[in-house]
Amino acid sequence: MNQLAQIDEALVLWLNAFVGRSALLDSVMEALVSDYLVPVLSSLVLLGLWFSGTSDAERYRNQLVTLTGGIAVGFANALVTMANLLTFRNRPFVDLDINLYFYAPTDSSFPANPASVGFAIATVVWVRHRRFGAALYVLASLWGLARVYAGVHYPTDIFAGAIVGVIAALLAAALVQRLAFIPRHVFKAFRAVYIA
Amino acid sequence: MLSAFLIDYIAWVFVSTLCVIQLAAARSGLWGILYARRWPRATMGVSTLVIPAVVLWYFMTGERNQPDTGLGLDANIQAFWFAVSAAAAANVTLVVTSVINHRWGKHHGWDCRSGEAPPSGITWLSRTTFFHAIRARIAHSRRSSPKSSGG
Repeated sequence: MNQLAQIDEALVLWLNAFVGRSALLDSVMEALVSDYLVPVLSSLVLLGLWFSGTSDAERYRNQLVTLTGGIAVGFANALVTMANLLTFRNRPFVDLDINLYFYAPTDSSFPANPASVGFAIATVVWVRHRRFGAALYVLASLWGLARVYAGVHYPTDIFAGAIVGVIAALLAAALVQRLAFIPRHVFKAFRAVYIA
Repeated sequence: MLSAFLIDYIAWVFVSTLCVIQLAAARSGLWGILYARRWPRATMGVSTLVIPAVVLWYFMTGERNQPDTGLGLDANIQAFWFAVSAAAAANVTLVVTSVINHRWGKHHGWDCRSGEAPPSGITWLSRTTFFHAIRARIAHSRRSSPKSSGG
């Protein structure tokens, strides 16, 4: 465990050392690390899927992906909250000499909530749409990388957050499949007023 | 009172949602909800360019990495305003395209006198507009309600 912690710290310090070396890199990371870029882009993909499809059956499957994505985000947040009740880890900027490139969050570093949300949506989409899902996985990974670059998470926080996200996605998919009659009826009502 | 930060966020999501809906509609053949029904490829091209442009605008016109204890938005508030902005953009799209495509949308092929229910679902918006579709649904409901069956 000690060795893992040392590797974790070494990676954060190595990546964070790039802060300030390139204005372009810093600008890109500043956008990627944001609380808004990846969530908004991921949500827009889910929204686009709601309207996508050339047949009723395809559209229904896409709309189920949108619904499952929303549920997966809820589950991911819940799982991270539960994990935070059991364990608290200081952020890297608290314990290390870090060039902090973000505001200073006060909640636990482990597991990384952004990674859990990003990977939850990516997993849900990937099951049905490999290309969109792969793009969202890349986006979620870049978000995680930016968080380490900025000094607000350790790499293991991101890795754990990703696992939480995938679990949340699988739970959401299982729930939607088990209770399939609910979206079937709700979407039928939405279709009557042409919003599904 | 909405802060400038929040207004920028709402504007970003609103414009992006307009573009995403146009992109999805053009790809899926939902001609009734396209602003430029005759130019679906141009619609896809413009939407694909505007989405990253709006992202650039958002991140280059202000310091966006603010804590939610300050100017920033916490996750729940962000989700709420995303939903509000996206719903507004969707509604604007449905209303405006219903007006723009009004004449085209009349020829949707469903006859209210046939007694059959109009098609349901967004798929019908490939042949008509949202307003025509809702109107058809209301007309059918009125015809098939107990009062209208005479007696």
